[in-house]
Amino acid sequence: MRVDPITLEVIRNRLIAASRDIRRVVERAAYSPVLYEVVDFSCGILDEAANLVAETPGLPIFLANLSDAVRATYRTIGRENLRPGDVILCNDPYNGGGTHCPDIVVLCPAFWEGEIQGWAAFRGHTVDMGGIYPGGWYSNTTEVFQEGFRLPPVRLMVAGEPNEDVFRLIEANTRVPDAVLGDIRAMIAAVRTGSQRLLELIERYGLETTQAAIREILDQGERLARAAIRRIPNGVYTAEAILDGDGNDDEPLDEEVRLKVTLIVEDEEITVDFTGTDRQCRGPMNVPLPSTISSARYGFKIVTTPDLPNNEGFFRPLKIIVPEGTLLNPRFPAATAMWPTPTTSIPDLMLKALAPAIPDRVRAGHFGDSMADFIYGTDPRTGRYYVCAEPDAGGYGGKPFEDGESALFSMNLGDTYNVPAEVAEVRYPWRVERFELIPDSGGPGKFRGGLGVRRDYRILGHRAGLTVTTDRVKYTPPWGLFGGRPGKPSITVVYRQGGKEERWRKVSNLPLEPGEVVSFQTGGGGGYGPPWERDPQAVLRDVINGYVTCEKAREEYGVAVVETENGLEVDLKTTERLRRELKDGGES
Amino acid sequence: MYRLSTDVGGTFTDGVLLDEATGEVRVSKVSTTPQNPAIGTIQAIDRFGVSLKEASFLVHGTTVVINALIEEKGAKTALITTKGFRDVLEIGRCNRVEMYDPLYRKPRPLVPRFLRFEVEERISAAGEVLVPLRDEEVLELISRLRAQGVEAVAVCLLNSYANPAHEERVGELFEQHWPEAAVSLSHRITRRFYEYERTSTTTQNAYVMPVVRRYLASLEEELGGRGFGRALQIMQSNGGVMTAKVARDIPIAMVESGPAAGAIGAAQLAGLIGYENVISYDMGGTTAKSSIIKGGLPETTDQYMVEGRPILLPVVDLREIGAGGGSIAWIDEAGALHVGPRSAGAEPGPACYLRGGEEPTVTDANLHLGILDPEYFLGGEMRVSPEHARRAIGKIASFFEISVDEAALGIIEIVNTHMSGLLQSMTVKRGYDPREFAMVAFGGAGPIHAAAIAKELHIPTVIVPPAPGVFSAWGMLMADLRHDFARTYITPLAEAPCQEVEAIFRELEAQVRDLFARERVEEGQVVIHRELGLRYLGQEHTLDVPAPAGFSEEDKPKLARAFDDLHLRVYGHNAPREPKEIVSLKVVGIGRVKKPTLKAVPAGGESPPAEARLGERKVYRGQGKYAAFAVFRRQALLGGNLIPGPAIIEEPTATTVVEEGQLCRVDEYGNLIIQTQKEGA
Repeated sequence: MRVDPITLEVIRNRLIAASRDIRRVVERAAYSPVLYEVVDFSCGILDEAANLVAETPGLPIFLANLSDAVRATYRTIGRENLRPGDVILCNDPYNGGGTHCPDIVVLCPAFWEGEIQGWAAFRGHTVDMGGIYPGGWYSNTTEVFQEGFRLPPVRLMVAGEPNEDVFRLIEANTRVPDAVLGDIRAMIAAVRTGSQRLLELIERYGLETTQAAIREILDQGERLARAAIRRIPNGVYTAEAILDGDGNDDEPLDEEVRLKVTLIVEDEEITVDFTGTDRQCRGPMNVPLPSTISSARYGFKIVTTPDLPNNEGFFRPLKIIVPEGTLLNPRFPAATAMWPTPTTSIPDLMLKALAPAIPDRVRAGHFGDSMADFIYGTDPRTGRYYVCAEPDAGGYGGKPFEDGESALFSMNLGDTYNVPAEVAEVRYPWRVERFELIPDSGGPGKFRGGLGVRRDYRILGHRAGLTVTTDRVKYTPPWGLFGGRPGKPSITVVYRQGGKEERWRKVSNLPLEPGEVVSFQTGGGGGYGPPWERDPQAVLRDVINGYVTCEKAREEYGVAVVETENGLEVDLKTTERLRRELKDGGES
Repeated sequence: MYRLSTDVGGTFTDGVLLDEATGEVRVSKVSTTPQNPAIGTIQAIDRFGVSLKEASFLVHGTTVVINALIEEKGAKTALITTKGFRDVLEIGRCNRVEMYDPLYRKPRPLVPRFLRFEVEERISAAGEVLVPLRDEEVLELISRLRAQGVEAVAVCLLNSYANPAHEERVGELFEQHWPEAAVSLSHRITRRFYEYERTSTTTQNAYVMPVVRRYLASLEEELGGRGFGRALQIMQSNGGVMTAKVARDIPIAMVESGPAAGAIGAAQLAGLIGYENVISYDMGGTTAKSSIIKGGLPETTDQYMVEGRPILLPVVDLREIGAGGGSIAWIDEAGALHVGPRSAGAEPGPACYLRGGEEPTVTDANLHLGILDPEYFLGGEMRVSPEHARRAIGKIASFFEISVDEAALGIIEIVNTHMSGLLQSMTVKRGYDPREFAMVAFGGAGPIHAAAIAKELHIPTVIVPPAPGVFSAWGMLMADLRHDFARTYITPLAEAPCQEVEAIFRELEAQVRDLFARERVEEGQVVIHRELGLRYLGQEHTLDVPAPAGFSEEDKPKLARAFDDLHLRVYGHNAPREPKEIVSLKVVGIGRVKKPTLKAVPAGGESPPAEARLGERKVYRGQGKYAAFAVFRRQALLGGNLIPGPAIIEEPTATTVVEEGQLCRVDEYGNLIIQTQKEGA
């Protein structure tokens, strides 16, 4: 059956609206900032065969990774055992969860005349699902068993009624049951809405037309992706990065971790091959396969069809090779708490690999890590236990025609919002003392990298715990492109009582005493093009605005900025000489 | 005496004059004068040839603020912040709206970093002074800013929502030492938390202040020269008006004045003829906008974005999509048909306009189908070519191997889907039942599509006012004065100290009354609503629940229940046993303005008079079938006339469609009232 183009377009719009409804319900009614501000979730409508049909963007690193949860449900519970009104939940990284323990997936099948005709699905980060320390994000676990309470696909609702046993199990295994159960209630309402919308569509257009439309929508996605791949020159493109490893800085588990990606572009198809990536880690820097696939899809999307909606069809021309036993396809029971760290670098590396092929459509490396931080303790004002999970924003790489952006969340996050200082001071027993850009953190270049951010919290009246994981510091700072210089890497500094200063990349459960200050300082982006080609007036503006200091202007850009009676100006003669020297040095 | 309104739009400036004695309404339309919109405004008024001595009420809506923001043509502005926070404006919220775009660009701050200054001071979230402000530091800053040639200054200190003392002091020092500077203090605009949003709002306010002050001064001078002796009223984004005197200090409140006026017009018109719950539906050349009116007041939202920069002030909650008469139908690389959001705009316009447009638009489709009369565009003043429309749509038809008729109908169907999606997001998805609403349709293209969309969404009634093309200007004449004040105040509901809550409400009300006193609104005309922003403890977003005057312990369980009910309605679930938390206190003050009466049209029988009948047109309805639509001239219709669908009702700036099975009645004021559902359906 062929659907006419008008009905097709109408159905397409309604499917997208259905997936938006899922997001809307959770976003507004959720309890945890990690859902409503960090937007650490994804949601979509899938067909009965687990193909993603429509998706509403949440966290880009979760792109198109809901299918695995539907397949795990079929595998574990059995399709024949599902009933109308059932709602499924899973978080097992190796069975339906696909990430780490705090991420849960909630799914609702849409039954039409006794048969499953599709699914509404939601994946979101909960504040705590048990595990050795609060938050579920660790640097030094060695088995998934240490990382939290794992649920394979289970029935959260049975034929429309809550399965109280499961709710009690969750309640007993999380440190913050109110928030977690509040969020789960919002997720249930959301996927039921999504599933209802799908049924309304079938009711209106009939099953056969709806199915035919979905087939055609996926086929169209494939055609659009193929057309986009044709705009990338054929070739084999490679990039790699050495990550800093896992464990705590003072007790490392894996010292260096190599990530390697090869892209083979051949007419209308792309193969992404991760061969050459290191064996799986002893610590938690392992990425379950579904998430590796998501991050490769994400990298693929940004270089092909960034502005189009998603569905499974777009990814048909994409082949992904991930050798088993590597950190991107680990064997059970490898720890996976820190899976976002390597996956943040995957799309960034894909951009780097493709730079020679499509120089006008890529940018230099970004600060390269979600740099998640967790602070927890008992609020002395209320006596309540709190867990704050938040990412840190940093600089992005210089672009082909302009400077990189400052202060954005890392690539694996998207339309994610920070916790404002005024909100943090109400919600948590801290004082926010600074929230500012870091001068000279942007990598020098013809187009400068964006700046990193410094955020300082003073802990008030209680003892708190801190977990932070920061990568791309030691071996692979944010890279420049085409002669651009790297950005300054990230670091976390703890200012102790008595003036002692500690610098951390990764640490779990570090105690913070009352009055101590933790300062998150993120990296800048890499530069694009040689710094000596940057317009001296642009360098002068950077100095006037304090993005670049006078010293670095001279040292890195070869621009002499001098004080005159009219204010700061460029000394053209000295600049010419300095730049000649830089260029000779740079090219030799 | 007369009432006058002028609405400056992108292309035209509309004027409406209402004779208070007779209820007669006159309209004027002149080209907008972008260099100084005051000129067009005066021209629109001069068209009426009346003395402004006899004007009792003059309202003005203008794009001067939004244009200055979009074109970044405001004043050289500085920003003063708390030490450690000068970059809040540039850092923003760190989100990437277009997350898949590797070259994403975030909104640029309106104040460059070298004009952002820090002062050493600190107030805690609880409002205690931790580090006192030093006058010397501010005075030093004032002389630096003067030397830099700054014209406007925004002041946004951390936690000033909890205690504005330091901002107040900065304001006093400017007042004493540099009174000419346009200074905007954040707590005067809003006392809500979220420092980025408040800084952004204050900065934008300061940025446009000098521009608006000059503009209003020149407009008031022109009006004064024509004998106008009253206070000029300015339309605000919240659906109310304020005097020009107040607008000088919070110009940012007029950002969305035109669209807000349409919503207020819909609310007032519907109220006058007996409908309380209304969906306003405004469709023009490039966009369709909609808002919800409940119990006579348009719903507002607390935040709005202009060019990606947030404004933390109440604005009529208008949802907008890129679907209008000029929306283009196009085929993507995979062979899928789409309509909009790209628009042919005014230039080149739809293919049938003969201005070089070659792509098929919604207007071309309506012309081809026979909905629009090629001989009666702008009342016959504009020539259009059905042949060009057919040729443009033919490209779509031949690609899909369907007839041109089928393609044209498909374009309409897709654009209607977009619009019903918009209206669904306004109603069903907020827990409203569309069957309890009437739709007021206006804008050049609104009345063409309204009846079909209303039918699909089960909205029982569509109201099309006379002259729907200038309805926003008419709406302004009907607006009351309005001021909103809000305060962030966080406390568990059950433990909230009633006296303190009551004291804050009273303080906010006193602010409202002060403003009304400045605007010379009589005490008896002031109506005040209170609202509490509540949430379940631990949630982020709040819902507003109406709060009683004289807040007491007995009100708490009632408020908790009202919140549970609202949560259920809006989100489909609730948790009555969970504790609730107060986040904000809000006060909406309305200064009632005497409303003119509508003028009745001559009454007639059920059957429209012969001079209103223009014969029939054949319109394609799909599957090879055509239907004969009876055509009427609106100006000749009489009160009480009944028109069964399918029918087309024409007037110079708009066309109304009555679908098959629907019945249209002309009410005593000349409004078209369409019953959209078949009897018993």
